[in-house]
Amino acid sequence: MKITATLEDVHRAVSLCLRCNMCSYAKWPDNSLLCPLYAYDQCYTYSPGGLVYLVRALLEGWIDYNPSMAELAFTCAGCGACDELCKIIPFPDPHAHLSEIVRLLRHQLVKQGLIPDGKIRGIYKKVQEKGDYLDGTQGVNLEIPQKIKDDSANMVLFAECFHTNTQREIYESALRLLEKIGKPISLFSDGGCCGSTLYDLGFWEQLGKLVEAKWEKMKDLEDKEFLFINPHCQEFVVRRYPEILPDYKGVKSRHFSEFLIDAFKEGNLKSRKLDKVKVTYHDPCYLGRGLGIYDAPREVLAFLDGVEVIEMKGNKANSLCCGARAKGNYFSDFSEKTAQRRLDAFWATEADLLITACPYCKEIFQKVLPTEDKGRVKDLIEFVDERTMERTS
Amino acid sequence: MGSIAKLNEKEKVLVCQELREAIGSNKVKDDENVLATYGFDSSRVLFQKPSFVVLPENTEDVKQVLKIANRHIIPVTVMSGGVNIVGLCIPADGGIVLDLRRMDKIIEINTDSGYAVIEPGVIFDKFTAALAEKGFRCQVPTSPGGSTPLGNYLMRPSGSLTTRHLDPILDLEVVSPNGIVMSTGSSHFPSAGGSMRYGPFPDLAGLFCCSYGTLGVVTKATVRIYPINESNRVVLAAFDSYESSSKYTKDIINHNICEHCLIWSWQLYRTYEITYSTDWVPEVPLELMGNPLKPPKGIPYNVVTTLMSGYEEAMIVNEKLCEKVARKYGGRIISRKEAEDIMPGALYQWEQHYLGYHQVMSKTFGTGRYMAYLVMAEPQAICHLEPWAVKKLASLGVAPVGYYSMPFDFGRSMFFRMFIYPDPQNEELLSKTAATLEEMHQEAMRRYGAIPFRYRPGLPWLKQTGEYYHFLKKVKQEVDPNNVLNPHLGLF
Repeated sequence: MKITATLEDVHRAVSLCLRCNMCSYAKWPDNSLLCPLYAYDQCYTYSPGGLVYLVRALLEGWIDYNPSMAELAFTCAGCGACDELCKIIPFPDPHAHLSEIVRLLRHQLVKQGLIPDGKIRGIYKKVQEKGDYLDGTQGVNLEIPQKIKDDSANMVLFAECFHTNTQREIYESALRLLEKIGKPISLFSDGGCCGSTLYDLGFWEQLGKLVEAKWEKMKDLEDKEFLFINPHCQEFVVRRYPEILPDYKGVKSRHFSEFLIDAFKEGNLKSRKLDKVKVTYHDPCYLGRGLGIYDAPREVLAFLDGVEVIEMKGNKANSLCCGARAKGNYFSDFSEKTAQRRLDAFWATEADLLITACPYCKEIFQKVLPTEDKGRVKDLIEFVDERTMERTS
Repeated sequence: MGSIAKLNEKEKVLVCQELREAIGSNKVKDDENVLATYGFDSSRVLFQKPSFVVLPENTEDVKQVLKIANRHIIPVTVMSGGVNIVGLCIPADGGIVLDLRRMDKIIEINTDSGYAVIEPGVIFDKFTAALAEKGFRCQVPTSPGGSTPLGNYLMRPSGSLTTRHLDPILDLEVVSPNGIVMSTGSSHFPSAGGSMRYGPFPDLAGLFCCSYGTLGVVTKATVRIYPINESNRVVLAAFDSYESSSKYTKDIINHNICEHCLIWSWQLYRTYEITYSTDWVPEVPLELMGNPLKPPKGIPYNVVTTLMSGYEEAMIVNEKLCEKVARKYGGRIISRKEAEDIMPGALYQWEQHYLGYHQVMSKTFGTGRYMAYLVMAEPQAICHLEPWAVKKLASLGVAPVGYYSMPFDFGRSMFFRMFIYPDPQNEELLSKTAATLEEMHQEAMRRYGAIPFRYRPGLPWLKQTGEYYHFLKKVKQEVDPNNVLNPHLGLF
């Protein structure tokens, strides 16, 4: 769906919703509650269909935009679980998925000046002032080891927004792994946002300009392969840039987990002999549902000696979101409760570690865990770095 | 009956407080956004905003809410899952929506007697998955897996076993409008379960079936379940007329060959290819825009799905018998190979439905606003009605015009349901379609001895029944003197 779309464009689609509830439950025969918002509070309004009905109520003049609506729209975690479940709403033009309709609603709310206080308003203010909410000067601090640094390399590490503490640790592990593998690489980072956060939050007025500027720098690298760590960035570049940029020609992209499989297969990365450990893998929404990458992280774990993988109840397309990207204040503890709910599935496996492949998931899980258990959540890249050998030759 | 007054803002605050104190604040919603989403559905019934949406978690909560509603004479509209497309869950303006979705426990699966005790918020997918684990199944309707067995069964089901087993309801726990809790079946005896619907006293469950939440709130039900036998299969038979298909279904059910059978029109079963397509948004085939009475060459006019279950040896014999009976009425059996070639989507849909106990949601609902025509009549009457109804609905110029039809109760009556998907933004066409459907209902009653399958708000069907209506109205006055349960539906 284009960012120039209006709510009126989806009027036909939303008026076809049958209230069938299928958008809230995991795929048959799992049937567990999958929409995190609906799982938090089982009231129809808080389901994807309920939000669609809210849009229809707006379009048909039965309700006006209001601050509570903004809090609710921004509380949706944007996990996209409903997108694969609803077969009806995306059918008519403009073929918008449910999560896209929620983003469109957010965009309209932003245009009405209805922006939730706190983090979202903070981001909005920065975007208004600078066109981006990230501080570009921090981008220079990620240093590629000299051994593999090569500005003419065929592979480019996409490292926008790496500089929060959680992300920095993951990127540093990634660089160590690249050094072990001996893969020449260059860096793409100007310390800004690729646009995915602005897109999710409905700041579409500013988004076009930001993405165009980013693309101007990226398109010089069109023959290279972009290596992504943050699945939100990869999903946005791969799926949304074509919708936003008229001259987008596509980029070659690979997620780090896919890259690691090749490294193991080609013998460039070797597992260390360490103590046995039981792990479970949490599918990040944007890597799994967004990019369809479910198997690669599991294949990577299978290359590691002494690692036993136990699947959580609710995995792959039926994986429950961690709740990290919910920013509204409609339910004050929504993110934390949603993360706890996912952690309940982790505890049920009796695994030692919870592995994920998205910095936001890691951050929220660590936030809600007691201090003594925070170390039980790791990013796949960090975990592989810990359990692989240094390069000897 | 008592008159209903709309609450003013001050009264709303007081009632809200009373409700919250009685059952807990998280179960009572008065946010404008919540109220707006409960004020309409995909039908053409007008938007009506409730004052509160209440989400009880147990029978005691329901009891408390009904007592408060009765005290203040506030109309109450009950929903189990809210999957309704004809306006039956739209509240009265300023009323209370009693949404039972949080009461979603499967309380018991009794494999000895063959029943399950469930709460109203249990959805089909959850129920059928739990039953399958115990080697059991239930009647599965052609409605989405997110709909509820109770919502469906209480409005007379047209599910996957209705040819033989018409009514799945055995026993109900009901809260009356003034807050009295009672059981309708055998569980009203101190130590008995709910395996017997009635006797030695009258069948009270019947009073709450097809009464659309106007006489009481069902908070628990005992429903029939059936063992999954050693061998289960679906045989497909092709016919070039509805009459031949109808005769085939009656013959095989009366010879105890099948458990259930259903006649699919070609413009309906062909739409399953759209759903089955791996394209996210596939093209609607041009053939579906043509005359629904004339299928293209090689496409059977009707396909009858014949569900059989039992021992494998019996299935082998029964398959041969299906072939014999199909030939008797000028039809033929469609081999699995042929079905895979010409109707893979339909085959997948039917196998999911009959053997997987899960209804695949059809993408066809995305082509327009779903509107339906549902009647029942004696078999021969439906044979006469079928071409008339197809032609009449096709005259609206909206394609496709699909239908399915099934024998109820060994073919004593036939159920006939048509589907049409007009443009949701063409008000004129929607009005014309609604008027045509009502005209067709009236004509079906007059000319074909048919009866409507389910009530729709505002239609005069009950009032057309004379003394039956007057008797029922007296019952309603006795049970619900303040008329708080769904007064706006226009049933009484």
